Amino acid sequence: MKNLDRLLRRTHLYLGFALLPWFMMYGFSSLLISHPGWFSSDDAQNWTVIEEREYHPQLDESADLRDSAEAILADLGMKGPFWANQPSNERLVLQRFSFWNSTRLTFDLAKGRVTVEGQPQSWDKVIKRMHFRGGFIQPTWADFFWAIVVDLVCFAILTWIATGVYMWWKLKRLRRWGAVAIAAGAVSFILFMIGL
Amino acid sequence: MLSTLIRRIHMYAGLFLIPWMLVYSLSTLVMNHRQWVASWYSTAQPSFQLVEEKDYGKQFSSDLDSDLRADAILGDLGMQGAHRVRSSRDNGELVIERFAPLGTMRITWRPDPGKIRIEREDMRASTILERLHRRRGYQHPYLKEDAYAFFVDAAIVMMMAWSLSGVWMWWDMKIGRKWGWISLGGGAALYAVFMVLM
Repeated sequence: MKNLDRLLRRTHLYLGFALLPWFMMYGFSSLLISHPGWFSSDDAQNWTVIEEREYHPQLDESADLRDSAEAILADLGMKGPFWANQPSNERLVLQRFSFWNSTRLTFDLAKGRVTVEGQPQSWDKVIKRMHFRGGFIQPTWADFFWAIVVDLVCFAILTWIATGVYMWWKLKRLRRWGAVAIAAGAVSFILFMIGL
Repeated sequence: MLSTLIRRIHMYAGLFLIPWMLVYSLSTLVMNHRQWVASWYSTAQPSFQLVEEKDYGKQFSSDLDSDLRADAILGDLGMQGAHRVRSSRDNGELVIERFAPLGTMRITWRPDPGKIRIEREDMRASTILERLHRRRGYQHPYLKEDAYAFFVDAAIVMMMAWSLSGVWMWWDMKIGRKWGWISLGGGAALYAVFMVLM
């Protein structure tokens, strides 16, 4: 039993330490997202034209949009993580991003032109990009491993809850107030689910 | 004394915020595996089911904008809360999406012939979790929404506080120094690698 106690305590602690940068990042970035007026730099949304030139992308209408977009980015020497959006038959928008910056490519398919735009760097954007980064659809290995770590953070939270509850239960003196905290949290949450 | 206080805050806040942390972890899993989760369902979004259709003959002054009309309709229905409203210029129809946590309610008001239609979105776990993940902020004029936003803020602040108080307790207890440094250093190094690569 003592060994189990020790194992769960150490798991709680070391898992927390290993994932501390992610937990701090998700905490701080959530504050930025929840209170955009507190931190946002004024020019964060502005896009500046870097280049405008002729370009005739090869778009196969039967192909998946992301496959076509990936081929276009490779042709332009801009391989990497991206989002693709085709709001109309004449317009294709690709956003090629990293943690540090974001480049928007807007293709006028009728005229065969592309406009390349960049965003001014701002620290709040960098942290928010880290928060929103995830999923397994981006074409780089770094994104794949990042998504695995995101999963790991989620499972770590579930593990902290389970081991935290176990450690509280072992502290007999604190059971009553711990039970009050659990019940108060659960009741508050249920009331919000019903009443919001 | 300070050490005890930090330990208690770490533990009791953790126990209290269990439901919120469950939501954030499960919803993040859903969003991280969006394509796989979407494949479980036949439609991209949950469908709506008719709850009720009834007469609603209220006449609004022409200078009352769609937001105020929506507030009045929701008030009459006893359904005040966070919502979004769309209006049609052609026939004056209003569509109000009332964002309830367990499924959006859609209220469609047609001034001519004075009917109101109430629909409820089917419950879908992944949609509920994702919307709860995104629910935040003090932008709605309702006390209950502000109260929920306060709890979201508390969870956010505690995410950072748990990390820092965890380091404090580890240092204070003088246990597992070697493995503590290894896990802290390993995590920081891995994060630094991602910062460079991504």
